Amino acid sequence: MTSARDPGDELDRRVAVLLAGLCLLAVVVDAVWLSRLPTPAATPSLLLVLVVACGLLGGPAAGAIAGLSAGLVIDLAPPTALVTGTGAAGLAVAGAVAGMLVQRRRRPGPHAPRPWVRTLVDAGVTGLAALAGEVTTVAVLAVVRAGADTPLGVDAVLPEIAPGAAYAAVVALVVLPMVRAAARPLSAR
Amino acid sequence: MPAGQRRWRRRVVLLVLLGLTAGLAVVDLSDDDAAGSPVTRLRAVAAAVLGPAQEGADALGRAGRAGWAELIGDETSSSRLRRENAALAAEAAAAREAAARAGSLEGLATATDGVPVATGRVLGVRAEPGGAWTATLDVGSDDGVETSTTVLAAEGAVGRVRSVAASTCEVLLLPDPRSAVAVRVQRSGQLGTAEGTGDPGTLALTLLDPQAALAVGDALVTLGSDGGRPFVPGVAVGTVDSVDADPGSLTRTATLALAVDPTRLDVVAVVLP
Repeated sequence: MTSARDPGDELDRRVAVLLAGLCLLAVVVDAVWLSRLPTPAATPSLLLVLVVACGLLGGPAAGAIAGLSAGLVIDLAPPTALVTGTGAAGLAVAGAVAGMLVQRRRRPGPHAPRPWVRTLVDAGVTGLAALAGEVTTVAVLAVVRAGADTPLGVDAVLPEIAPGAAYAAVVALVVLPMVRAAARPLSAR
Repeated sequence: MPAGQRRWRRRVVLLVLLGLTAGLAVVDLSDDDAAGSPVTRLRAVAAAVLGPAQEGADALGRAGRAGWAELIGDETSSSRLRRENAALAAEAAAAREAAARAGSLEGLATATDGVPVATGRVLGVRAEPGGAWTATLDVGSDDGVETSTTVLAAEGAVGRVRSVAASTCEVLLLPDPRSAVAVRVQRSGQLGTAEGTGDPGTLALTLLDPQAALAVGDALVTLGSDGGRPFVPGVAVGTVDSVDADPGSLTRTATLALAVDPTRLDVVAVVLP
């Protein structure tokens, strides 16, 4: 990003519109295509990576806003969530964590990183953000189901968290360079 | 707009969204699936808008797969032999898929013999580890589907219809923690309840009689309710996987292996009321 402004701090309006459109598309793609891929242990998500992209390009607040709005849509649209808000909480934390990590990373170096370095760092940030989001969702689910007949078996859930984050990192390797390439001409004025 | 003002506005948006999410979660928790609940209304709107989008994406996916197979068969093979080989393989695959589809449809036909059903395909699945296990189907109220009706696959029970839109419906799959189905042990006739745990591999079985004999491998079928809603009787649910040996317990508990793998759903039938 060659813009003079700090890119980790605010999201250009046109980039925001682009990301919002992509997120809406990802809601359908996740539910119809990715959820039915025979991937072992967990389900990959395009929406999660796009929410992370919002955090990477616009900072923690933009990431959290994107995560909450997209999460409310996936929680309310069928196939629905156990309790409305569980998906939103996870995505909001993922977006916010991505924004925080990238702000922290940007502060010391004024020069732009090489593209392949940035792609790898983006994937790593996505993995960490996904991990934080999934832990949040599981924690919310555990609270919600604490009083139920069949409380959440944490040992049954834990083996799915790490593969989920790994899938997010892999999807990010492909998707985030494309998102950055699409956002660059829109935000550089 | 100055940066400070923009930041301030973003904070307000974030707070409003946080409040909205928390509010909806509280409403959802307090009156689950109540007809007039704002959450239920919002869900209906989301289903009406995104249902057709899911149907479109599903059709696009199928067309894309068919086109891709054709492209590979026609374009990328350099020699005639390879082209022929690819064509034969594609034909064989298509025949296998058609046979499997016909087989599962045939199985469905025998499973639902004499019962009016709407046959549909699974559009999307939400499989949260420990959370929701729900799916959308491409049949809805236009096809006569109503809520609280049984959904079957060729091998047995899949779940029950939770909500219906015009051309799609949502199914609560058996592993969902909200799902509970009254079951009968086929061998002994003992009655019990099979509850979802959020884990697709197992259901939690509780028998009414704590002294009841129960062995690994015992088959369980639905007990069925009045009018066949939500479940029609006699549909395979699963087999006993392990029995908890707790002599002090008031009920007999065990875990079940499901008859239908909820992660591999395709063609299903919805029992019409």
